[in-house]
Amino acid sequence: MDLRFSPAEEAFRRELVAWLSVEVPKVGPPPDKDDWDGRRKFDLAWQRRLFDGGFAGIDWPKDVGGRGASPVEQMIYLSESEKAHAPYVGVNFVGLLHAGPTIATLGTTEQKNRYLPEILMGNEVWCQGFSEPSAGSDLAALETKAIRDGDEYVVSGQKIWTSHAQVADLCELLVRTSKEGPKHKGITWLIMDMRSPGIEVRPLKTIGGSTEFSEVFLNEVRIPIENRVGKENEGWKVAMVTFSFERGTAFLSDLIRSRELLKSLVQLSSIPGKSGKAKWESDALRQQVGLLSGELDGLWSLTRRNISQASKDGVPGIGGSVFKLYYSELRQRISDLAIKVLGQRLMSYDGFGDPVATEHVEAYIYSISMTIAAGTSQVQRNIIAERILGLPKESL
Amino acid sequence: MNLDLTHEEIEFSQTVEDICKRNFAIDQLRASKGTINRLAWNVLGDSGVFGLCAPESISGLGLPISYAIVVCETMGRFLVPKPVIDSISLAPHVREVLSGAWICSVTSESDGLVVVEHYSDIDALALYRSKGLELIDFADLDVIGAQIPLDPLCPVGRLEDIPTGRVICKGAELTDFIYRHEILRSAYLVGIASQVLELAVQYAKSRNQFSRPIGSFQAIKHLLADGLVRAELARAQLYVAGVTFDEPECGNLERAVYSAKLLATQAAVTNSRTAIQVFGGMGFTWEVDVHLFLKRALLVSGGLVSSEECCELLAGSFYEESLSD
Repeated sequence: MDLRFSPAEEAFRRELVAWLSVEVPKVGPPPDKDDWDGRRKFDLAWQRRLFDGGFAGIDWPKDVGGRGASPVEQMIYLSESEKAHAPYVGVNFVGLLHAGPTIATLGTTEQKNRYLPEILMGNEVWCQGFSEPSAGSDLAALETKAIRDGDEYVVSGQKIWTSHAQVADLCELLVRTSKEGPKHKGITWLIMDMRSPGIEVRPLKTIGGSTEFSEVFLNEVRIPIENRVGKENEGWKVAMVTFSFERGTAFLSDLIRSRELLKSLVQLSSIPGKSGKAKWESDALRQQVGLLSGELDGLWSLTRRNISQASKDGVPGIGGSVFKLYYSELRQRISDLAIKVLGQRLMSYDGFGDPVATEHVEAYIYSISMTIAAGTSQVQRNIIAERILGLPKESL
Repeated sequence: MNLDLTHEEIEFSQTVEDICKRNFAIDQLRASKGTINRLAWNVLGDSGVFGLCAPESISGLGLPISYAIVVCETMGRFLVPKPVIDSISLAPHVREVLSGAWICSVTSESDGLVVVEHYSDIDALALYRSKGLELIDFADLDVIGAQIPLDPLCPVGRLEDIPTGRVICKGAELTDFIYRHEILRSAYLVGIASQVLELAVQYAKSRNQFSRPIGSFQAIKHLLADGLVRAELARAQLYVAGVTFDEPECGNLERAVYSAKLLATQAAVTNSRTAIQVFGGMGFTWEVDVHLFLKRALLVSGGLVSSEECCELLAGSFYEESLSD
């Protein structure tokens, strides 16, 4: 066992750190979270910088314009970017981490040439049309139907939880093309142009008051058959490929961010209150912080172990579910502790003028989504129990 | 960066597992009523286990601590008497332990109490005090045995008065000893956490109620999934602590060790409790083994640094870290 980087990895790290130190200071202040045009512009501009610097599509294969970085290099990329306070992937998320890698793996040459360079250069934004009101955890139950009409599919139905739909150019869309046989054998994976007639986007307001995602209504939207990735009725297999890219290193930035949150909480708690005593002097608080920080250490170790296994096996593996389950719940426990430290400052989003408090109020509300999004904790537990422990499926 | 076991490490742990299967099977341990079988102990000694961490200059094997870690995981799985951890960590300092001639147990004073494990089997006691680790000959020990030990396979007593022993390590060597000892306790605890989970999973697959295996119910699945996550988190941190022990420039060794101990303790104790719950009423009986794992987990999780001390130390170092940004 060894925790050191190889000379090549260390050289990559130095190159990246040097580049970040020049480019990050050029980035202007981030736009307001409800300024979607501003967010699109901001995130695409960063993607363009990455492209010009040779860091776009870090984990993408070289033959489609990526950097072909190893899992360890991806880890270095994510942690150094976070340390340098570089912008997040933002509206480029679906393109870079979902649709792009899927097309790179299963798309036709024409599809690769048409879509991949635009993602890498920061020209086009993608969104995801997978979930539906009646198909959440049971995604394969999706009902949005696509009927063949000559060289086109005519698509009608409703999608939900579609992040960045307001500013997306394209959508990775799962549709039902057959009702015969098992439900996951009648699904097809399509690329939908978001400017097509018949698409209505209705933003959903989250409990945080912002509009992170939307409902998307599809009324006889026409999609050319050359926009299909994989075969008709084999979209479930394509979607599984899409999901495999979501695991692995996807949560690394969140983990580093959580450590920063807990540190700022410690700082907040060490400011003396009215009585002259700081909350940090409480044994109970320190015990909890000690435990939480130890758990963060553990998750960082688990990430390194997952990456080490991915380097050997070439696939991210199931470690992602293990990480996601523990991480999302730990993040909520950090925020639960924040409530105690914040006291009455929790009652206002601006922390009554305290910017550090604001950060924790927002983090608290946001943390509530973490055990729901990208597979609920309950679904993660089923996956772990059935696929790792080999327990039998629930009989219906 | 690599956190996978090497072929050599896996091979060595398999050799040790075979020894355990033959000499420390649970029925043999139950029959021994907590007496350490010297013959079995010598078989372990002959395999080189005790000398894993001792330098070659004193006829140890001088291997990376990862070997001792995989061995202690196996020891935890089989509930091999706890002095095995003490022997491996003491061997660099006590020649008779290295050879297997002596059985020693490591203990510390807490709340005015010095608890001595396996007091009728040990040749000497290693007592941790802030100024150094002291070795006290068995003849100088005045132990009052407990009528009913919590762990039925580990007789315990308390010292009537605490004699002064010979200091066998202090200063930087003492710190080194504490880290090594706590890492190996963590490894033993991770072994317990995995083994009780395995027992509970097998039971959940075979036990039928409402005409189906109870393991098909989500209520049971979710308990067991949490158990796997706890064990994997603890194991990852354990391996990182091991590498950091061998190469301290790779990270913060103090944090790595105390995080490992804390997570391993949680995994072992909580997974044992989960296993008892999954076994239901049978889990609360003497004849099912899981209570033995819970009791051993509680015993081994003590050590030189308690969970509360781990938390306090981690909180302190985290506070320092928060200032440095």
